Amino acid sequence: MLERSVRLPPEFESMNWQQATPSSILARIKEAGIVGMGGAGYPTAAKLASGRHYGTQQVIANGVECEPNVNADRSLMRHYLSQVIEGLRIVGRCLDCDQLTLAVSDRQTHREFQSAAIDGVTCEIVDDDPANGEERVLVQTLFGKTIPAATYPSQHGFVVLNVATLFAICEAVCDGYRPTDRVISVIDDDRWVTINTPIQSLDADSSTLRQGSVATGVVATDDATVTLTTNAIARDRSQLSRACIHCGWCDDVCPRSLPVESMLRSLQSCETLASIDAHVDACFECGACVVACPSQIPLLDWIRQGKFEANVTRLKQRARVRFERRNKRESQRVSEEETAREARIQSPPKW
Amino acid sequence: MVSARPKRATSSIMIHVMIALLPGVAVQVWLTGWRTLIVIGAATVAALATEIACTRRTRDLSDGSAVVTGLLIGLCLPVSTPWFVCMVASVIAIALAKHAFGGLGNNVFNPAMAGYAAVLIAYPALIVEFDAISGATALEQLAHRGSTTIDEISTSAAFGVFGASNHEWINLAFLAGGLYLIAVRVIQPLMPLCVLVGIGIAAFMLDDGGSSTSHGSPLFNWFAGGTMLTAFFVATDPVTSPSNRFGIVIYALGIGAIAMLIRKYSSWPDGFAFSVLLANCFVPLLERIGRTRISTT
Repeated sequence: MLERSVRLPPEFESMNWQQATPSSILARIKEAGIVGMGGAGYPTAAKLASGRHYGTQQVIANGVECEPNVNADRSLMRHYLSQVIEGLRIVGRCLDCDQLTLAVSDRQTHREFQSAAIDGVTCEIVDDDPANGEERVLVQTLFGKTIPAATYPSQHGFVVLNVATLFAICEAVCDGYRPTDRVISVIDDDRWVTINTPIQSLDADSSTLRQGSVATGVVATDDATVTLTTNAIARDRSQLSRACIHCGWCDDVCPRSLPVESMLRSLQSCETLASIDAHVDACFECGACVVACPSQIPLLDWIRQGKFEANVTRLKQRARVRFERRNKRESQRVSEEETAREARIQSPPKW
Repeated sequence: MVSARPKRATSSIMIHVMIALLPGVAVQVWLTGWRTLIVIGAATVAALATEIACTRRTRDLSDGSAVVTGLLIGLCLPVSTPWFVCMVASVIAIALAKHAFGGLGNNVFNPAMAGYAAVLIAYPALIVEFDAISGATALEQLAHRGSTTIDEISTSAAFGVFGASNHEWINLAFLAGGLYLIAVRVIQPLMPLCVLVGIGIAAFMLDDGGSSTSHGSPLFNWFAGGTMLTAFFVATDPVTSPSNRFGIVIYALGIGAIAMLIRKYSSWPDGFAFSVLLANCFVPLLERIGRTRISTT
C-alpha cells in the first residue's frame, strides 16, 4: 500500500456531485487549481469548458503509461481505482456525456477493472507503445479518428484526462481537497510525494536526476522541485550514450514519422534551419526514439534544444521582417516628403 | 511498462553479428584448415590494436565494432594471405577508413571493405585465391579462362554441386548466419534480399546459356565468392548504408549489379569490395532523395 503523508485539512466543503450543477462542478475544479497531471499541465477547467462548448461524445481516462520505468498511474489505479472511476463519472456529469472509457496499457489493470464490476465505463487495452500515451494518438488508436495537430481533441468531441487528474478531481469535488501531493515513480518504487519537494532530496545517491522518465524527462536543476505534472524521477543515463551509428531505428518508431536521425545530425552540427525544415516542432516528445536508440543517445534533449533554437530563429526572422518593413516605410515616407517639398518649391507662390 | 534498457544496444548488436559469423568461420576452418584462423586472428588483433591506439582518450572498445571489422576482413582474405597483409588491411580499415573520418558513426566507407580493397590493390601477388585441392577458384577460372564455354569449364574441380566448390558451403553458412541476424531483428530482410536480387538480375541478363562469354547462372553467382557475406554482413552495416526504404533498395540493388559487372568485365575475380565502396559514395545522396514525408497532422 502506498503511504500517504499528512495533508492539510480540506479547503472546500464536500459536494454531492450527483445533485450539483455542471457549472458548480466546473467552478470547484477551477477553484482547486487542478491541471493535467499526465505531463502537459493544461488547466483542467479550461479543457472541460472547451469540451462543454464544443459538445463531448467521449470522455477518456488516460491510464496508458508507456514511458520506461514509469508506474505511477498504474499504482494509482491499483490502489484507488474507485476514486479514479468516480472522477471520470464527475467529468461525465460535468460534460453531460455518458460515454466513459478507461484506456490502459497492461492486462493486470484491465483484469482488476473487470473484477471490480463497474457499470457505465468501458475499459480498453492499447499496445505498450511509447506514443500511445499522447492524447491525439490515443484517440486515433481507440476510435480511428485523426485529430489535426493544431487542434485539441476537445474540439472534436473527445476529452482525454489522465487518471491522476481524475483522482484529483474526485478528491476536490467529493472531499474538498486541493491537490497537494501525487504518486510519483521515484527510480523504481512508487510513492506519494508532496508538491514542491526538492527533487535532489528524493534520491541522495546519484548526481544527475531527470524530472520525468529516463527517456522523456528533463535534467533536473539543483533547485528543481516536484510539480503536479511530475510523474517520475529517474537517474540520468546520458553519460552512457555512444556515437550515432545511423541505424534508422528512431525513424522507424517515430509516430509522426519524423526524420529523427537526420534531424540529430543537423542539430549536432548547429544547422537549425535544416532541423526546422525537418519539422522539429511536430515532435510531441513521446520518447519512442530514445527507447529504440541502440546507442542510448538522449535524442529528446537534442530535439528540445532544437525546438528552442528553432523558436529563437523564427523570432529573429520575424523581427528582421518587421525591421525591414519599417525601414521601407520610413524611406518611402522620407521620399514622399521630399517630392512634396520639391513640388512646393517648384510651384509658383499663390500671391 | 517499457523497459528502460534499449532492446538492442550497440554492443549487443555486435555480439549478435559475431555469433552469426561463427558458422561461416567454422565451415571455412573445416574446408581450408587451421591456417584460416591465423588470417582471421591477425586481422582481428590488428583491428583491436588500432582501435585502442585511435581511441586513447576513451579506451572504449565495448561497442565491439572493431572486432567485427577485423573478423570481416579475415573472412574476406584468402587462406594463403600472409599475416602481415591481414594486419595492414585492418590498420587501414580502422585508422584511415574509420577514425580519420571521425570514428564510429561518421565513416563514409565501409571500413572492412576499404581495408580489403586497399590490400587487394597493394598486394595483388600475395592475395591470390587458391583452393587447397583445385588450384584456382571457380571465379578466377571464369575471369581468366580464354574461350572455354561454361560446360567445358564446369567439369573442373573448382565447380561444386550448384556453386563454386567449397565456396558454396561457406556461402550457405553465411546465409544461415544472416537468417539468424534477421531472426533476432538486428537486420531487416529488405537489404540482403535486394543485394541478392541485384546480382540475380545482372547474372540472368549476362547469362546466355553457357557460351564462352557467359558468367554462370544466378544460382552459381549467389553461391560463389563473397555473395552471402556481403549481402548479410557487409551491405547491412548501418553506418554506411541509407536508412530509408527507397535508399536501401537502390543501394542494395546497386551493390549486387555492380559486383556482377565487375565479375564479368574486369580482371578481378570478385568485385564486392569495390561495389560496396562505390555504393557507399551514393549514400548521402540516397538519404536526401528518400527522406520520409512528414505527417504534420
